[in-house]
Amino acid sequence: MPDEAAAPGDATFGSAFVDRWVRGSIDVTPLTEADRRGVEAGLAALHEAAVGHPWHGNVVWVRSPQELARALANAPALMRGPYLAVAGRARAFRVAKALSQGTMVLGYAFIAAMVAFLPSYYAGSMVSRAAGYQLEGGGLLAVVVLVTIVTGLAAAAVLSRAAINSARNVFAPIGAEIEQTVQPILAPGRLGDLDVAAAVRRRTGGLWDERLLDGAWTEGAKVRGFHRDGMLHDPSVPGAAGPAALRELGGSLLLDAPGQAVLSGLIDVRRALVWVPYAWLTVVLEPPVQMHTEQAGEGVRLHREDGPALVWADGQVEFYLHGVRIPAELAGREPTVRELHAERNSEVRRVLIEREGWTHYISRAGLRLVSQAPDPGNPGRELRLYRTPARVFDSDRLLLMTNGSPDRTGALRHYAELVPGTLNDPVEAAAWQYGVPADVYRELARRT
Amino acid sequence: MHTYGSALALIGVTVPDHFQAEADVPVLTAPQAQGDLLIVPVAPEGERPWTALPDEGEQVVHGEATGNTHWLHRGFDSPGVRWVRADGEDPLVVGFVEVPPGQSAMLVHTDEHGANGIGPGTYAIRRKREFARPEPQLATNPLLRGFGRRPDANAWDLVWD
Repeated sequence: MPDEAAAPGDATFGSAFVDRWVRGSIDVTPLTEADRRGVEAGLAALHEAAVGHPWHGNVVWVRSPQELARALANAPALMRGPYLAVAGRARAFRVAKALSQGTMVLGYAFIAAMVAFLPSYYAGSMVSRAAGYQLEGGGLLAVVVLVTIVTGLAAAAVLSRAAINSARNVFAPIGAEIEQTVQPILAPGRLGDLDVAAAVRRRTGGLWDERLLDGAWTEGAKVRGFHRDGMLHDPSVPGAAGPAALRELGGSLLLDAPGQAVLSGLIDVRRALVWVPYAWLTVVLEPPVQMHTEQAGEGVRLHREDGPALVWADGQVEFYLHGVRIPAELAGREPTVRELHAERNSEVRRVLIEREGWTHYISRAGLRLVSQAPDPGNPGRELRLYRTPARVFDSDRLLLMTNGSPDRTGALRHYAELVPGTLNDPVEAAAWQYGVPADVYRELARRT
Repeated sequence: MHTYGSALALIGVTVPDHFQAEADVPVLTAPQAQGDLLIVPVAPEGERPWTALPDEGEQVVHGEATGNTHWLHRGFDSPGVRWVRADGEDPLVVGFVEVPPGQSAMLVHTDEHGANGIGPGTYAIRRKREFARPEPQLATNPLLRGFGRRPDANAWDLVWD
């Protein structure tokens, strides 16, 4: 039994637990063989609890997002071997199932050929008419065979697609089933006033990117991926932090033995970074070699000014500024104005501009000044309203402002925000941002 | 009178290096701004569900992503300061503060923006909005909607282009 000091209302335990858990979330220690065995044991527990079948044991370890994408696109090929690799009657059954699906494909192709055979006679007579004389037996046969093959192949390609797809259903992604199994186990997670799961989500929510699943092979069911603190597609799904904290305190979780096994599985799997489950395959992404983050309020986000924020074991690098992913070709140097304006993603454009500073960008891009006025309440500073270049920003007015107080480096920061294109007076634009009349904003006595 | 150092002591934060702890915090009744918040005097119309400000203050805005936390506190000898969070009728209004005559309140930012003293009166605390591009009007005719790759195109656009 836990002593009094570690009662579930104890805030120091809760925040210490969250700190420890978040350190685990951004841990990049390379995995040992023992770690991998531990992760596989956790995956096995989750798999068996979710689908009821014995664990397939087919884990593919990948070292980077590019390898992950390749493995996910190749999922059917990676699953075929383990699916058939069973002994005795089970194997015979699976081979028969595969064959019957194959027979269906052959049957479709045969029907397609029959259908194609009939018009081929008509094609022969058309050739005869076009040529102006009756084709001999050999010529007619050649036309019939050619037309049958060409149309038969085309029809078979279309028809057999359905058969192949139904065969592939065996290999479907099972992330949704696992999610349903773990959801009720993850629900509790309050330690007195501190909601551990929510605290962890606030801290690490900015780290995970659904983009990792782009291009994953799917058959009907949507592909779901899990990361260390929840699921890739849905930031509202809590990770295992809440029940793990309760269990560490010795609190009652009201979990049966399989539930406990699932919870232990979820905790074991955290040594890996991301995992994507299929019926006969689980693809596991190992942690990167380097992960550079910054603190933004409570949250942690990927950030590095002087190099890639993520370096993966196979050499892939990824660049992030303040949590925004930057194309590699724009990361290492100052982008040209043309490149900035060609960037379609407004967040990427914003962080790249802010890296050099808005005033620097405005002078480099030669934005036309619409008007300027002294900033009320901010003596010696000005509000400047610029016209933005066509078809780059969402609005054609940009308001350049100066902070009322210096930032942590002691510098007065300039920053710019878009305002409606109908505004031509900078004070009116600043007042619009707060939703007050310009006359009220002009009376501003002090800005900090 | 509060100094910046004594205002930050209210929320248990030490003064960041780049600020002078002894700098006076003027208590004003005119509109003033603190970063993305604006304190505007309003007419004390109607009765609002006021609550007294607790000793430890109130987090008016708590930015999870940016760490942008603004705290509202009572000033010295100001037990009567009351506050209410807005009901969302105007999305830009965060809440209202009422400061009785002779008393004061403090709006303190934990990181960058320092502190603002609020004199007697009733105020709205407003936040800043961002510009969002207006949604294009979708063509209402189902025969024309989705014609080509432009869901927002209408027949005239198609002729014009």
